[in-house]
Amino acid sequence: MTRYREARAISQCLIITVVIIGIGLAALPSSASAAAGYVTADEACQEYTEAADEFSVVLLLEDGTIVGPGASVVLYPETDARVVLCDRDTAESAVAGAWSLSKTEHLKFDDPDAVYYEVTTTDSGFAGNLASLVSENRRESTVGPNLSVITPAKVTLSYLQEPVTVEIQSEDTSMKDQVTAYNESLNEVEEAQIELKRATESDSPTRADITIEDVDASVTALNEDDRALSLSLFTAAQDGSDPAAEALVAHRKLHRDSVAETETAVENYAVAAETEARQARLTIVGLTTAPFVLLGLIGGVLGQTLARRRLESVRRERRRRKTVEYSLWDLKAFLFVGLFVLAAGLLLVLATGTTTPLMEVIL
Amino acid sequence: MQLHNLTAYKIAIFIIFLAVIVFTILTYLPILTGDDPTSRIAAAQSAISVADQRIVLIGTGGAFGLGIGIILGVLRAYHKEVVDI
Repeated sequence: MTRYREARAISQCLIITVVIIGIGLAALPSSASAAAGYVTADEACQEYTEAADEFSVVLLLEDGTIVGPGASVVLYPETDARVVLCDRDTAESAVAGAWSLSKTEHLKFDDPDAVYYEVTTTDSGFAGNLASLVSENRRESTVGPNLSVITPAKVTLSYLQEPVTVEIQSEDTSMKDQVTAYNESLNEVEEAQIELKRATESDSPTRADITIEDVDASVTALNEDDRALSLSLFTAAQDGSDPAAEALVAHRKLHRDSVAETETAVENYAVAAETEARQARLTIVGLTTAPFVLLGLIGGVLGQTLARRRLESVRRERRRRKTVEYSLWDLKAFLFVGLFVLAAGLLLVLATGTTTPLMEVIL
Repeated sequence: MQLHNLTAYKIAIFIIFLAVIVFTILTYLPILTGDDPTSRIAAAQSAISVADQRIVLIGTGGAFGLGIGIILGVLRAYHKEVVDI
């Protein structure tokens, strides 16, 4: 039960944290975009005055980032950016035809706007130096940053009532494995719930082919897989992966519900087993009490008859000799027979190994 | 208090009183093995396994009944004889 309470407490903490981060993430983009935005082409070129003896291609991102020669950047498809060509610390005019971007499937762009090209990445899988996309008349003497455009891998949390697909970086396959592992553990727990329900509704719950240890092991595995997957979803939500926060909230709710349902199924099973045990205890009482009373009466009549005969002979002896006294020792044979039969009953319990379970039932 | 000072009736009342206590424990009191489901189900399975051993239960009950019956019968006859003097 402690395990279930811990899982519930962890899930509540994670949900609260995710909600706080979700609110933060929702608030961040609007304030960031309002505060940051593109830097101007000249400001960007002045950042790269060290490369003054060459032309430099600089990539400007919407959040104010400047990616210059020698640097690398990874972008998703459909990301907007600006491409600037710097001649020392001054931006070259693109409108005047001094330079241009070559037509390529990797970037979508229209006519240049003064000193930069407004470009949008495509899903063609580009990986190379941005200088290679500059028109031939400038390409020889131009350096630029390395650009990679990757298509994010998608992981679907199919076990949710309304499946959610999360976009992740293609290099990171751990979340896919975690989702698979969690799905398998969840299936095992659901099978255990079905088995428990079937056992609960059967005539003899205790004879069902399932043990609480097996159920506990399934829940433990599910909790471990949940921790790993929740952490990955949490990290993805922090990184702004869409819609990782929503997926995490839905996942945590499903996990919490699943653990609670298993807890209920186990409790119902225990109650059904105890009901069956109560019936069994009544059977034990009946099976021992009936022969106890019946043979007790027979033994009583038998013992009394045999003892009376012996005592009659003692009485006759007393009439002949006044020194003769009544004593229980005269009836020792019958008392020993009674004790022997009692000992035989005790031995029967010990020999058949019923003592331990019998004591468990009584105590 | 020695055995020959006790009447068979007193011993019989004691045995019946003891039997009532055991009967109550077996039927109405919860199994005192722990609150967790594993312990509760293990205790339930123990009860079932005992109930399955019918011959042992009948034999044990019968042996105890016969043994106690003989002793009580002997004691009753003895006290009746002694009181009749």
